[in-house]
Amino acid sequence: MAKRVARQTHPLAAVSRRGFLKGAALGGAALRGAALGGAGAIAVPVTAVAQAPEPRQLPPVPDQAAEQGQPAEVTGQRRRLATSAAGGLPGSDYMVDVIRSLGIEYVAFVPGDTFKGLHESVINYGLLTNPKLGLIPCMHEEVSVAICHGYAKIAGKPMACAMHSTVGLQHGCMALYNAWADRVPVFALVGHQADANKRVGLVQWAHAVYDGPELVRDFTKFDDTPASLSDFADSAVRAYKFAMTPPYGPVLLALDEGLQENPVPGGRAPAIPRLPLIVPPQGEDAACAEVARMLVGAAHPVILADRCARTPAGLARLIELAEALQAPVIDAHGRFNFPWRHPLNQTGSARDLLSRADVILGLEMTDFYHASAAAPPTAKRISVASTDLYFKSNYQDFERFTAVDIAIAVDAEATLPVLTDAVRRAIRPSLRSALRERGATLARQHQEALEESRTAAALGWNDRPITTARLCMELYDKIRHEKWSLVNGTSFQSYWPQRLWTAHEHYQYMGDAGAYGLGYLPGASLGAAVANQSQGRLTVAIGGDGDLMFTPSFLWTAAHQRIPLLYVVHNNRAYHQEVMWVQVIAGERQRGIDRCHLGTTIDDPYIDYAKLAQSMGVHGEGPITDPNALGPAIERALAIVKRGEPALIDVVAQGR
Amino acid sequence: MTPTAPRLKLSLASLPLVTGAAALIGGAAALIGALTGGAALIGGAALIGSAVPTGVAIAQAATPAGNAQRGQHLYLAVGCYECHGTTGTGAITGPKIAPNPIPFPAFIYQLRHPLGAPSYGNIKMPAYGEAVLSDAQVADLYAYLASIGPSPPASKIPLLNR
Ligand code: HEC
Repeated sequence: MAKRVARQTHPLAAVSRRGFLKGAALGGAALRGAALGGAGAIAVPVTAVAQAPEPRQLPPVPDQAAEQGQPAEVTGQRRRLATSAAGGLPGSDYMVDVIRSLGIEYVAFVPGDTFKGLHESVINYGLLTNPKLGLIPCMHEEVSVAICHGYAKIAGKPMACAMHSTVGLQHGCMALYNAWADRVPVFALVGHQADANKRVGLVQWAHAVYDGPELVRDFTKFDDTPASLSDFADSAVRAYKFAMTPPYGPVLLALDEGLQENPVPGGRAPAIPRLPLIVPPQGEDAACAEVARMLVGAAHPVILADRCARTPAGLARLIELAEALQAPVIDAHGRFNFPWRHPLNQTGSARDLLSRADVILGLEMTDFYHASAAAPPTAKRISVASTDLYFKSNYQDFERFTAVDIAIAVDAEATLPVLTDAVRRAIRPSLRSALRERGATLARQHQEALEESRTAAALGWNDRPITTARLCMELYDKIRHEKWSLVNGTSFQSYWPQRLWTAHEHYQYMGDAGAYGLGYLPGASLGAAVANQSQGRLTVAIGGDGDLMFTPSFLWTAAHQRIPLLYVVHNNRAYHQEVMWVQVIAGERQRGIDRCHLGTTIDDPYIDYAKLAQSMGVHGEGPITDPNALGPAIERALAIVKRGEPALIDVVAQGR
Repeated sequence: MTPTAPRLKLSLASLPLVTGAAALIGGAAALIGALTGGAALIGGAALIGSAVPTGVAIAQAATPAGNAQRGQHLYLAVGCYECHGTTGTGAITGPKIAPNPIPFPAFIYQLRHPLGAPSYGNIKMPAYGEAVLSDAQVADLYAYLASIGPSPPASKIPLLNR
């Protein structure tokens, strides 16, 4: 058995060039326990295991108790299962070891026979030995991939998902595209049968492909189809490195059935290569000094941030830069970049500030062009973005070209400390009072924007359909004293949370789908909830009805895994964005302007989302049409969530 | 093509957002109240240029009578609610247009020749020409918006003051 290698505990821990050694020391070398083969085979009768007190029709799997966090009473049984009785060390047991050596704690999947070897290793080896590789059973690959997507944004590290050859990957591929466009690491695996002689029938041939990953190559950072187990280990570590080097992204390994199912050749597992501490690319000193000079010299500097705060460190660092400059921050909300009630948070005054801007710093912007469109063309634009380092051509999620004066292709979060130091050095004492004054003006402006938002939120307060402002404020009222984490993008709720709630922790918001592919939030919120659960946080999501109907089976996974999540359906009974678009085109053609609901609205019949939830074992309430009934319903649902279970409430609400 | 009555009826029956929200106060008092308030709230429509008559006197003189109930149906049927909310509250997709709608001449000008400033996701207000929305229908829409009563002020809503 190969020696386990030392690695940092938190692979995402942001390490600046200067903090490298400190980070290495702090990150610490957590020894992964050697697990393979170390079994004391004390057989426990299977009947004893089957008596586990689970009200299920079928006897629970031996690890049911452990899976649900109960003390393991069946250690002997678990050990026995963890050693294959026949044929030596299974190749896929080794794969499990490689996967968990990367710090990966879960694999989410819909079963598929092209990875049955891995599946069996997960349940009979990964689940039963430490560090445990947990299993999250799903009913659609779009859910299993989105779970990884949401999980990574909260946990700061990837989760694995496994997909069936061809059809499984086809189901999962849009979710991979979302993760790609959102710069989120996903460790994806797909089954593969290289040997045509082993494809035993019609179905296996229909699911066979000689280059499966080709389907998603345009939107994965790396893929490979390793031919041996040591090749797999190398590829897995390489894939992980790519996934976790900014810009983050999904990676995919195709696992040959033979590799999974055959024993490890010679009974000796190949060594697992050690994972380096991954250091993100950081801005070079002279470039940062030049940018600092421009920012300090500007009369009206503006900072734009989109996916700037990869980790909590990015949030703290952006606060430092903004405060050093006393410059406004306009948040494009790709991540939790800046506290929502920080006086320098000027997202609500974007248009006004940009119209006067002379220097604009764009930090990991996706759409720098439109985000800065209100600024005069003479304004100097500086982009700091890791996406400049790695892109592909076919899918155009790089957005419209933005003419910039300086483009620094690095990780913004890692570069902020250097930039902030340079800014501090560039500020002469004579400038201090002017900066203080600018800060005071901006603080007043933040307060005014807040008051305006309050006034706007009151409009239609008692309306039916319920306004999105009312929905958001009723929810906030019930969670604001909790350690809450709002895991949906909020544009469809007119950004009320950002406009009115107070939030200052990185986990309190994680941005949106990336590519805006529908079906994202159900899985992503579940993944986020898995990551939040271990931290004692309350996960809440507000999601559209249209989005929900792409991936409703996430409810079953939530119930089955007992994942605490409050899912509020923003039920506008339509693909509302498309209602508006069709309205616009009918307007252009000056005809049938009263027919735009055809094909866009979700009615006749309405869908009962509460029943949908109940049908899969999730607490469901609604449709709630009376705004005064909303608060109590949220309270009832929260009581369930605090018990460790999911709950859904269906709120009939305005379009936006 | 103009929206014929039967077709309008059909689409209303299947409209997803059945609103019982707007108190249809109707009548002259509400209209006048809305207009006097409206002069100060011209907002975006004031930008449409000097050709548009503004001001309370002109507005009052030029406001035709309309049927608020018919207006509410129209408001939902021809999609105003999509971007402005079912009672004109506004959202990221379109500004607040009630209560106290802008003076009628500015209103009808906006419908015929929207300013076209892009809102969220680059969606722009479509033009509502005479071919699809008659002057009488615009008057009905206006009557509906003018009939919408005020919301409670933010200061009186505990959830907005925590
Ligand atoms: C697709 C979205 C959309 C639809 C549908 C739409 N609007 Fe608008 N509306 C906007 C936007 C965006 C603006 C602001 C920019 C502009 O003036 O074009 C606006 C502006 C207005 C204004 C001017 C407000 C002010 O204070 O300046 C009025 C009045 C208005 N709309 C009324 C209506 C009415 C009535 C309807 C239905 C007949 C309607 N709109 C349909 C998006 C929309």
